[in-house]
Amino acid sequence: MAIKRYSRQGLLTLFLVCAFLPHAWTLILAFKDFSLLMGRIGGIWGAIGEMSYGLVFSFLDTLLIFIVTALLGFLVSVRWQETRRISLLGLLAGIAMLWEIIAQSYVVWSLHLPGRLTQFLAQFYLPFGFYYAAALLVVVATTLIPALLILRNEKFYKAFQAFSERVTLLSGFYLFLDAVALVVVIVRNV
Amino acid sequence: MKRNLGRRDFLKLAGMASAGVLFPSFFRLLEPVVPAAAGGKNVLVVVFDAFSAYHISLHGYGRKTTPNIDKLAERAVVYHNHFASANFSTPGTASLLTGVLPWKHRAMNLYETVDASYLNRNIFSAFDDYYRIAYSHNPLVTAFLDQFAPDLNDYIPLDQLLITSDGLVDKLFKHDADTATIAWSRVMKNGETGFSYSLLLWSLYNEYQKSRIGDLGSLFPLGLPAVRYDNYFTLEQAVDWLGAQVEKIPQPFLGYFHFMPPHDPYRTRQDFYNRFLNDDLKWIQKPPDIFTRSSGDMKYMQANCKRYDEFILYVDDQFKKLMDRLESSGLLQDTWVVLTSDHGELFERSIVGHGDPSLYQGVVRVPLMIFEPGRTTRTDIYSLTSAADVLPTLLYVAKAQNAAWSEGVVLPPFSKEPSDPNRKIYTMKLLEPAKGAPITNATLAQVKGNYKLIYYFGYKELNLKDHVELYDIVADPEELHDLYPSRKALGNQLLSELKAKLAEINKPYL
Repeated sequence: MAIKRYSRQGLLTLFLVCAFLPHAWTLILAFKDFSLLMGRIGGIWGAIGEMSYGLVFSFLDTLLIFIVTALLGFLVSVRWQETRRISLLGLLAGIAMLWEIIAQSYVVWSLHLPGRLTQFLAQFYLPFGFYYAAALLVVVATTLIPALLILRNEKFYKAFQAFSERVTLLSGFYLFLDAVALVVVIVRNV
Repeated sequence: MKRNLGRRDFLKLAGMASAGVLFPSFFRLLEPVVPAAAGGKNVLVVVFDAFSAYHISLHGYGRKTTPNIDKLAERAVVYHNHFASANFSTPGTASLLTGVLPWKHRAMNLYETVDASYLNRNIFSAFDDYYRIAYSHNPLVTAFLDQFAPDLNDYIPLDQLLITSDGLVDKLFKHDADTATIAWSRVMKNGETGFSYSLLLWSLYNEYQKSRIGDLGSLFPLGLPAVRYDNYFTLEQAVDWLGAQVEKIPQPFLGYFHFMPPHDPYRTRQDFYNRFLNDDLKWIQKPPDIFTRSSGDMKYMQANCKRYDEFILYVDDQFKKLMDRLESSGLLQDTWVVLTSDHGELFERSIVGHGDPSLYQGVVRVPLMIFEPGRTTRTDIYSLTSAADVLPTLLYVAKAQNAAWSEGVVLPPFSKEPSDPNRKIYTMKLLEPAKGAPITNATLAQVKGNYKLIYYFGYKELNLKDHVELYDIVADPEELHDLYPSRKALGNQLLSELKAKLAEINKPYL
């Protein structure tokens, strides 16, 4: 008999954790675009429309992130209890999304590496190679250390769970916004 | 139609096209013969987007960007001082289609369409007894074709000549396509801006779009030409399709075809790539613009300018291919062909591109060449002409009719009237007034004789203060010396004429 790895409740929690960052990022960018889009696509109703499409597509993005994360969940040993495994998956998905957001933020807010750091990198024979190697090291560290802490450190695990509960509440609100956005999209297309 | 053109298919098609040139009579036998209607000559308008006359060797540019067009011009009427009506596609194209300037047709902002009063006063309604066919690579122009669709016999959808497209979004949200498409770009097209609302979906979509290009990618070292960032196309595909289509459709026809190159992104074909690398083009560093307040990063502007010029080589090559095909099929004998553009492009004063408040020559002076059926000699016209003149001229030469509503005139040498040496040509950038409101924020340029007056008004960036520049575009074609401070009397006289015209335009909206 196949082992039932995840309960419905566990998957729902994972989905809500996965929904938080894509929706938050969409809302941040959509509000940033709002005034620009108001001018370009027909006033406030046009900008609300654009934001609504953004939220609907964000729901699809969430769905995809959730599916990929849930599938990765099959690689996690069942010797840890389900809630811990869900926390681990939610944390890994969150870290991956955070790195994507950080990468995009460089462009959104025209950020640059500090001058001293670029000067330091310029000393090397392959500055980009060194930069990417260092970035890889940071990414691996920021992924592995929290993952190990979730599995080994009870205090960290409990803290993350408490954080997840708040995040899932917010995600519930975002999903409500998705429903409203879907209605807006339907109204605009009838 | 085959959408995924492989490298091998591409080469085969190129070979077929060459064979078509060598053995035209054989290929003609294979085509269905459609008899021309009595008396009516076909009209074919070919618009290359953002094609600046400043960058055309025919008009004296330092790089040999248009070797083929230069030769084709030997049997055309060539207009050397032709002005677009505006500095970006929406208003510029609307003037070509309606024969009036932006202050009348009122398509001023992105995706805006023309005032409803031009629904029955446009190039398509004027040629109502012709078979009318139209296509545009540019979604801003597609908005007009949507608007004029009832007057088109054959309206070719945008994605028909694209290798990859956002067609699904357009179809799925067809009643709200503009907003949906913008949202789709924001969500998915990370590569366009460097960010996207999506955190994962965009990368999968990006890979999917790339996979659809196939081997064609290797023919375009900077990537395939594209609209909306990743809606890829090739001019070969468009030109082959156009050549085949006009041979099949009933005659007389009116065809309006608006192709994206050399509009950015400037992605030329392999054989033109780096053609102008390290050439000896003399670069002219120009004085700062009133908005950018900078002469610009010379290296950055030069690099973009080089890519743009190499993209023009691609346009030139494909226009020749089209003309060869029309000639070999015998259509050229029965067709007025117009080559023009909706606006130009700038690489000066820290401005790269078009659409900002400036109206320097590079962005408003565009090519206009008219290939008259049977013409074997070249005629050069140096008088000032406007995009608004194209419609009345075509209506006059093809149907002997007048476009009474047009602000344009029938162009020489076709007009029986002599050219007015005091004619004023207007070009403009209007900023976001509602359709029914007067114009209070704009850049207007008036060209009269040797002088061009540029009048900026209503800009918050200028603290709502007026700014005026005056250039002698004959003695100083690069617009290096603003004469307004030193020739106030002349400048103010021209300014008062322009203000009087603006007051006349604004009167119905007050």
